Amino acid sequence: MLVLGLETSCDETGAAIVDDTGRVLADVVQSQVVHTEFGGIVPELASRDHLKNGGPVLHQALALANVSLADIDGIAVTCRPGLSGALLVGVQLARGLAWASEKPVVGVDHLVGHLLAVFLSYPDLAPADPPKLPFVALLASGGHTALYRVDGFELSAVRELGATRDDAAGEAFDKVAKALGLGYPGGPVIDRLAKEGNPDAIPLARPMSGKHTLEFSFSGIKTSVARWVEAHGRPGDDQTLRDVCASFQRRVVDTLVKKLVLAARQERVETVVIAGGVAANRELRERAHAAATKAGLRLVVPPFRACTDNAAMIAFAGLTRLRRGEDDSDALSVSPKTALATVTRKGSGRRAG
Amino acid sequence: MRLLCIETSSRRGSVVLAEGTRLVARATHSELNAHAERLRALLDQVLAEAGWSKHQLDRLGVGMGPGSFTGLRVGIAFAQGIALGLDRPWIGAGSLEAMAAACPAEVGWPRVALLDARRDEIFAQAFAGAGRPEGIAEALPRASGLASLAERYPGAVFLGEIGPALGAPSVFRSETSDLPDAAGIAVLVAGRDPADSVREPLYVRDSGATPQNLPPSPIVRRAG
Repeated sequence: MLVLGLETSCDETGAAIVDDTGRVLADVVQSQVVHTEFGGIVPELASRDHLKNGGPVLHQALALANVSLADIDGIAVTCRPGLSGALLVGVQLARGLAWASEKPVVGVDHLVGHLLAVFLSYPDLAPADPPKLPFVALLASGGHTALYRVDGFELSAVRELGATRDDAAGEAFDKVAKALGLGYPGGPVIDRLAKEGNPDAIPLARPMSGKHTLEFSFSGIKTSVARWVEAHGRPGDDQTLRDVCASFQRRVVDTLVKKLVLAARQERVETVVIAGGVAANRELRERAHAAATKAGLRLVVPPFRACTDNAAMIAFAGLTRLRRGEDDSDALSVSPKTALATVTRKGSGRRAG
Repeated sequence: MRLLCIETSSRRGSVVLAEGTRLVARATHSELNAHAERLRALLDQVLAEAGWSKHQLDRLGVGMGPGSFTGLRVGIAFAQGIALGLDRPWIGAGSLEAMAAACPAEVGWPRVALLDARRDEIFAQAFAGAGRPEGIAEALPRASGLASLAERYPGAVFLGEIGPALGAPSVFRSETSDLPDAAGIAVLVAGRDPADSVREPLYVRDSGATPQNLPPSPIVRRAG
């Protein structure tokens, strides 16, 4: 069975062809660069770019996989969560395609896609040993940061254990980069600078790291960096800049890793997974690996291209329902919110318990 | 030549089947923000009415705006998906141009198509004899736009349901010229060389985003 996946939820236009074992025959991702000068994603520009690139990206995926539309058994498209206008472009493209080619189409929750990305295999990479179910996953990206227990391949088999109350981890990276004048996106540049910095040099707030909760909060540390910049000005020399990056990144990574291990213990699972764009962070990968080893857990990290937004993970996440013969042709609507049940209330204030 | 045309730039969504420039079936809806939900049912409806199979279609036509940004994309992406699925060409045409093309022959020229653009503006475009565009589609202030158009195009016939409200001197009203409609798109697309297709939506207005006015850190330029 071959699934065509489409992804347009944020600032990446993706199309991919994946078979029913998770083997990726083609995975085309066109990243939008139009947002750079605005210091963040402009929804209208994202939608415009998706429309411009959707068709070409789709054609390219079919050509790369060396298959024709007739070989495709079903279509999977991201329908939530994300920017509504951006999601609509992919959904309409998928809908038109499904209607014309008389193939089933299913809507996929983008977060489920990220959580299952670890099962993808790529012909040009050494075969990975996929995790055994159940596992606990940390999903950290520019839009989401949460811990999940994953018991199976469908929405109902994924349970949120705790999420951020405010900013996503990736969002904190972007905002700190903006405060330091490092441009957008912030993750890769901070990671690179942090490598040669002293993580203990700058006193910054610790992001909810002491509490025995699986919830996160990153707005405090973001403000802490902003205050430091207000008080000291933007770093005047390279080493200070590296130190600020290292101090910020260490605190964020420490919290993420600590809660991942805590969640695995609470859920009594043997495997942990990190997913989402922040999983591309070098320090997160290293420290998660060390912490997992120490705790007797197996850590599985998807390859880099499976961590960032892509359509292969969407195709794989749609597979289970397509295989069961389900079809959303008559009911495919977009939503800015995930369909996964959430346990964390956003915003400030006291929590019960 | 059998055409399927889609138009979703305004609050009315429309789908037509045409044999050349002859309209065969037309279906519309006016449910608010529901183009994405309603289009497919409209397609099935016109095909059933005409007794055609989707595989008999030769080309797709779609309205490229100006109009609602999201509405436009809903129709264009859908048409692109169908074109890909049927392996047929899709041809884009201007939505204001479609209003001018949907008028009966006895309506004189120049014709100026008007469409509510929200935010106290109107979209407008003028067409000379045989539908030749006089300049590009533009967004004009609602208060002063009509006066400037009347001055630029003396004796023009104004089209669009918004015409009377704006106090247009000479207004022609009809179902398919009151708002951009797939019927007008079909007239345009039937005779158009695919090479002359409008490929990018006619947004007319920019995204409204303002670039940041922050100089990049000099350190990073060296570090990067």
